[in-house]
Amino acid sequence: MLFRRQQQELGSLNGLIEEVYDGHLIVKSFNHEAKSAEKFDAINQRFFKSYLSSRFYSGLSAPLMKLINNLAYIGICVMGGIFVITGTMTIGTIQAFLIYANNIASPTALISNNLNFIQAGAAAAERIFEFLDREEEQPDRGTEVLDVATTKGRIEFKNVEFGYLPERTLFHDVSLTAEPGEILAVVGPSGAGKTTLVNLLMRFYEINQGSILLEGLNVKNLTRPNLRSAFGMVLQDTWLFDGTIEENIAYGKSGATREDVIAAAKKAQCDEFIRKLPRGYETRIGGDFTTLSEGECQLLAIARTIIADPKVLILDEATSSVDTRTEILITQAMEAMMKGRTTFIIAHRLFTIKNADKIIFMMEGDIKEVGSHAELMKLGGLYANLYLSASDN
Amino acid sequence: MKTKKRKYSFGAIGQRLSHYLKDKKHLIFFVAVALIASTIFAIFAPVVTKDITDSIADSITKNTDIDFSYISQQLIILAALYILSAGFAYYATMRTTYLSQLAIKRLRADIQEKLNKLTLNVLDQSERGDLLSRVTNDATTLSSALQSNLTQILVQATSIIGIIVMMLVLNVQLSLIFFIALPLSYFVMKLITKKPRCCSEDSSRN
Repeated sequence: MLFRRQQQELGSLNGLIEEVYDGHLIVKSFNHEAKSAEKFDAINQRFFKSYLSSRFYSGLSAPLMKLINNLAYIGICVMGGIFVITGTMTIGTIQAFLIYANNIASPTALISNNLNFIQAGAAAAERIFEFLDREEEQPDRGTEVLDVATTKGRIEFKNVEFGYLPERTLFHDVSLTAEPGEILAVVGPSGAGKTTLVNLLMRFYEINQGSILLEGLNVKNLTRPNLRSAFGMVLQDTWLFDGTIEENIAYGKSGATREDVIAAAKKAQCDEFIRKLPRGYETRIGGDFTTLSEGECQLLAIARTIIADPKVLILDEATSSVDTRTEILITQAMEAMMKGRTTFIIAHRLFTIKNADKIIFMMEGDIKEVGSHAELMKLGGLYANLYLSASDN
Repeated sequence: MKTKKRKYSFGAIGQRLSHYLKDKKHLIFFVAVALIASTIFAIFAPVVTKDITDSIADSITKNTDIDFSYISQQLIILAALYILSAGFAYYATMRTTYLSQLAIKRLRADIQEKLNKLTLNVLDQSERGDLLSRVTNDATTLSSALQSNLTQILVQATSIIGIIVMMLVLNVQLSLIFFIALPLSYFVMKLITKKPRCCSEDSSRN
């Protein structure tokens, strides 16, 4: 149907705009402006065509129907005239008839016009329903409740099997224990399954086989909000929303007071720079972070996590380099945050890795080696190789 | 995705949309009554005009005085008919607008809820802009289609039915002319709405 196509083209047009807008700098730096403009032109042209042809047909229908109705009108006039002359009909009847003929013409024309809009609406409805029928998360069972306040943060993976696609298993048989307060550095080449480990911990995805236990409770039996309230997450790219610094930090805990915010900011080493800002905690920051450096944004994200006081931390260590001073601040803030909390770090820096209680070396979706730095070096396996080659450079 | 791209029939879409108004059955009933009432009043108006014209024509052919008292009485009835018809039409339009917007509001709430319940798998696999377009552009298109056009279609469809009945009552032969023209215009309409379907099939989505 033409209207479905029109809505589809509009969808892909928006998709492209969104994509190029997001990757604006990348597009520029690779000199792909002309190419994306070309691509845009092509889709835009297709949209133009499909729009035009759908309007062409809908525009055609109304005049055509009017023509037919007018012909019928003439027919009634002639016939009616004959009937009146022969005396089989009164003048009033033919008048009433003509009014009816007139009245019926406009609704039929309008209906044919409106049917086209209804078709466009149906095409839109179809796309919405398609969206509404997409795969949903498994409903929460919630048969067990985790008392977050007393949780110490012991985590256990038992023979976990998982794959993003049913036919491709990534994790074959992953078993792992994290004792309360331990720092676990997750190391491995890209594609090894480090992010997957995080996705499974937070239950963004459901595992196929085995179980994940938090404080001895199977996470499948908990509600997601219950489970996630025990976790804190600091990712590489910081997400700050449009609002004041205070609001952004307080996001971690509902009903946080100004004192809570400042205490968290102090622990996260960002109190100092916030106070130096002209409007302090009231400074507005937006999605574009114009006022803050990348390192400062990371500190805010750490403060936000500290205020939430989670039992288990998940950190994705930033690979981007910040200046040395900020680097020291971040390290201090991280240490303050990790104290007394079970921490999983997707680690890139050797310093972090060496200081971890346990190093989990992953490759191709399996845990190849687990142990402290000293233990793994003594083992002389994959990790030792990686470490030696990295420190050579 | 495990589900193949499903197509929804008009009926299925209507059914799903009407699901959002399950608790408004009484209101839908009132709207239907108002629509029918408005149509009936509008349709009887030409009958009154017919009587007026016939009365005048009668007076002229028989060379008697025009019966103004009868005519003014008929004119008052005529005015009442038109006012009543407009009033009911107004009520019906207002209520259908309310109903369609309510359905859209509930649909939007559903979409919002769905966004929170989607597996990350779906989000990871779909183009963001397309997903956004579905929840914004498509929702707006559907909303305007429902609001202005559905109301009009309902009003017009009832009046078409009413007029056809009245025409038949007035004169069968003249109605025949119309019954030839109506299917013809329906046929043209069908031809036009079918045409795009055949042409767009081959050049489907990229």
